[in-house]
Amino acid sequence: MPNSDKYSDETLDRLYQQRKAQHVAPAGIKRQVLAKHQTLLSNQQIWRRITHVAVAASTLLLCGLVFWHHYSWQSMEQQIASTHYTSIELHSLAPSKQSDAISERYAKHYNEYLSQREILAFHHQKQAILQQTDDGWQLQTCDQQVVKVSQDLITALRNIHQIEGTFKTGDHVALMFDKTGLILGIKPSPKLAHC
Amino acid sequence: MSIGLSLKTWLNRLSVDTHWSNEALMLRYASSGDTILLSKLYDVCGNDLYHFMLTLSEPTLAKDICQMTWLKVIEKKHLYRDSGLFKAWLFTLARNLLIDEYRKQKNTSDDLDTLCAEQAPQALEGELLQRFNGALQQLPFAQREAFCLQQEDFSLEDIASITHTNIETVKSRLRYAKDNLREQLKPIIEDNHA
Repeated sequence: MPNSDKYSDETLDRLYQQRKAQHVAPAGIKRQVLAKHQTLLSNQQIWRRITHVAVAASTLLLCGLVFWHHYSWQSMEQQIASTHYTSIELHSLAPSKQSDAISERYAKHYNEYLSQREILAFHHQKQAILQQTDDGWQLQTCDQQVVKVSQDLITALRNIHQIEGTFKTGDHVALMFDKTGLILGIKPSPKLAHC
Repeated sequence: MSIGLSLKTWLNRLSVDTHWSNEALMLRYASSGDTILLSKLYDVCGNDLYHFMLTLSEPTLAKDICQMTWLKVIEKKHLYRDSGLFKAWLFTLARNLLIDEYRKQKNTSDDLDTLCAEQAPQALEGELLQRFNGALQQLPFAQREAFCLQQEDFSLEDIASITHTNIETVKSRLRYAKDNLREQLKPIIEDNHA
């Protein structure tokens, strides 16, 4: 850069700065800008407070709903518990005589149940070996259980054609039980008993 | 609550009193919205911006554009990114607002030049300064703009960014602007030099 240009550049810089120094920004600009800023800040604070209040109210509402739900559920549980308690209370306050009677009935039914189950478990067998005795038949099942059939029962079964044909000792027969374990019929078994 | 607020204000004052760059001030202002930081930014850049606007327009419009620019800084503070000079961002906002204003008035660039040339010369002391002012006002808008921005210590890249043009164009505008000014002021400068 030539010296003259350099000099003139410096002069231009100096003149520009002198011009700039004579034209400062009016104070009103800053004042208005700051005032506007304060207004915006106030509005923001108001909105922020409204937001905070809204959040707090929402939280309270939510807590209220949860509490109400919990409370209503608890009272329902209490009601159920109370009902149960009432029914138990009747039993516990029952006279000892009545309680004993119930216990006896219960024991009786339970024993019946056990015996029925035993019959079902042990005698629901179809295959057995017949043995003639003085007072009837004796049927030996595969698991070495012996079922004695009286002459009266044989006669009754013959009358209703549930025993057909003649049997002798050592014959293989098929026993038919009902679901309660009663013998419904005895028939000759074509197959040998497999035990 | 009030104690906390006072403490925060006191801490802000203390921190602002220490030396902060414009960019750091703006970033802190963007995060806190503190009035003190805005005031500090205005103190640093307010006059430069006003003079820039005054050079490109007339006083009333310059004042209005400056106010609008600072309001935009307030409203759009969250958009400021620490990717460049705050002053460049500020001047870009101002220039865009000025151009928008001129477009609203349906003034073309030529009209702008005419409008600026018709402005009454400012009451400046000294013949040289008066001639400089006249010569500056007579420059085309783009050259005047580029010259002012360079005087405000912006780099060629910054000027190109602010004026939405390329560096070569900026260089060309600056060269023409200075040549024009030298030409206008040559007799007086030579007299002074002699």
